[in-house]
Amino acid sequence: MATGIKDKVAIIGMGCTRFGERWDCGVEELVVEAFSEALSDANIDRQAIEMAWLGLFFQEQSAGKSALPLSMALRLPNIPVTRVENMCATGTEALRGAVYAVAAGACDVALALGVEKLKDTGYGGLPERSKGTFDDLWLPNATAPGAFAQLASAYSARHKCNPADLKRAMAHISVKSHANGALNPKAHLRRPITEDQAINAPMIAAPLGLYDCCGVSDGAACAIVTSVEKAREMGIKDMVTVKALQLAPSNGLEMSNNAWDGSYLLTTRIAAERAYKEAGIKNPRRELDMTEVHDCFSVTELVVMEDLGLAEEGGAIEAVLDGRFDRDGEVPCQIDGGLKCFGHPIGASGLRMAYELYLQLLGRAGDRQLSSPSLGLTHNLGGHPFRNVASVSVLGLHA
Amino acid sequence: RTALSAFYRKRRDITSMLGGRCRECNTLQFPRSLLCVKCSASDTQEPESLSQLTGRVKSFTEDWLAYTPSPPYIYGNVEFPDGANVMLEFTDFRPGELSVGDSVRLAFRVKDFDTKRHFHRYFWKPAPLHAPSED
Repeated sequence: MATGIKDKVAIIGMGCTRFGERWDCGVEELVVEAFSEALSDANIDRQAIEMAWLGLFFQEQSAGKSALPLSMALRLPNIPVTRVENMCATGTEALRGAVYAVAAGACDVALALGVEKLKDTGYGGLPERSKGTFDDLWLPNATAPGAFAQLASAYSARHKCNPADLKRAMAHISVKSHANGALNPKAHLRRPITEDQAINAPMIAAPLGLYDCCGVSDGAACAIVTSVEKAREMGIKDMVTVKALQLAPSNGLEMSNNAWDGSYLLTTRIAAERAYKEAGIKNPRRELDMTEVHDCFSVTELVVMEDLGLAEEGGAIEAVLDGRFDRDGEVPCQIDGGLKCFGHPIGASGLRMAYELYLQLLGRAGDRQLSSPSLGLTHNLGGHPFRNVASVSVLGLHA
Repeated sequence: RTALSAFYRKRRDITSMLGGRCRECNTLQFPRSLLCVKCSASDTQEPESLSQLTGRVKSFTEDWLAYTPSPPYIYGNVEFPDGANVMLEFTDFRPGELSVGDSVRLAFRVKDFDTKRHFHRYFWKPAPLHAPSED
């Protein structure tokens, strides 16, 4: 009988670059910057790393295919490197590969690194791409904001809420994330904004305005993992372990069938349920100390609070406006500034979220430090609400 | 870029908006697939066109970022009888005119011009149920 991943693997080192318009560097420099921090944090010899996973999404625009961008940038000693891609869940997917390899006993120490270099494309959003030769014949040429904006219209219709209240809650989410990002030297956007600014910003895809959308940036983040036994042998006392790693991709139901009403994220609910089971979490709102969720758009974060069980169904607007997810709230969300302030270098984002939980758990988050958190959650949603890949991970201090 | 071979394979599905109705669970779906989206039964879908059905708007957006010759680009999920849902590009709606719950009919319109291959892509778009009166 499988027992899941809980408390089998420890994260012993993490690194994260400054995210932003990194005109100063390319993929190689980003990889080395994140890796160097993680290696000195782990305090191990680089030769101890036996396997690696590379998360990279836009290979055409950023670093090229295969293991090579990582293996060559780090001059790894020909160890196995696997490149993974699972849309916005790519970074978390890289971590899953490394964690599972250690748990399986295939190696003692593994590396997961996610990187994306997007600003060289010269485009503000994510580069456009074909969805496949058949889909291009009939699907609308939707943008990411347009696909996620529809969550707002369906949510308002389902819960019969006033769209103005929803817009104000969305503004609160962005104001909160900017306030958090302003405290983070590694964030891309570090300026606080006001609710008025958010509400009155130019429309991108109704009802999402400019400040309802996260940016796109360059960045890399990485983790070095080993078994709990090995970490103990290394003398690590405050140990961050993986409590759950779950993944749920769509199977087409949302896009082809009326069983889904468009107001929530089906796969997030499934991934969260599995993750809570794997981690032994019964009451997420009470047990989780913090979350880093996929706030590609403000409205995504709002519905995800319900999908993760941190707000009652139909109650997210009130919970958000009450400050439940603010830095001083009951379950702080995006303590590092989130995608909103870090931007979204796809391959790096999942590991960037894990990096913040890791710092918070070890009491190393500086001005953003929460008071003694012991359990946190990361969430990614790759694709669009009607067809996507959701990942949920839970990290915590080892008891 | 239009893949003409893909269009050739799917020419009936696209031109007639031919979906599939599952013989096992009666679920209508577009596009037609090898396995039913609802019950996963294999090879059970009878071809059936959605083009004359009345749909209901489930969600939508007015997108000012997406490229379209006539912004904003308005698209969203439309539900049809017997379980079908399709994300489609609306036509003949001006900004502010569309609401969740509206009934729509489908109109066969140009979707795209592939100027390099001189190929016009056509597909079905949800339009107001009743044509607006001339003014």
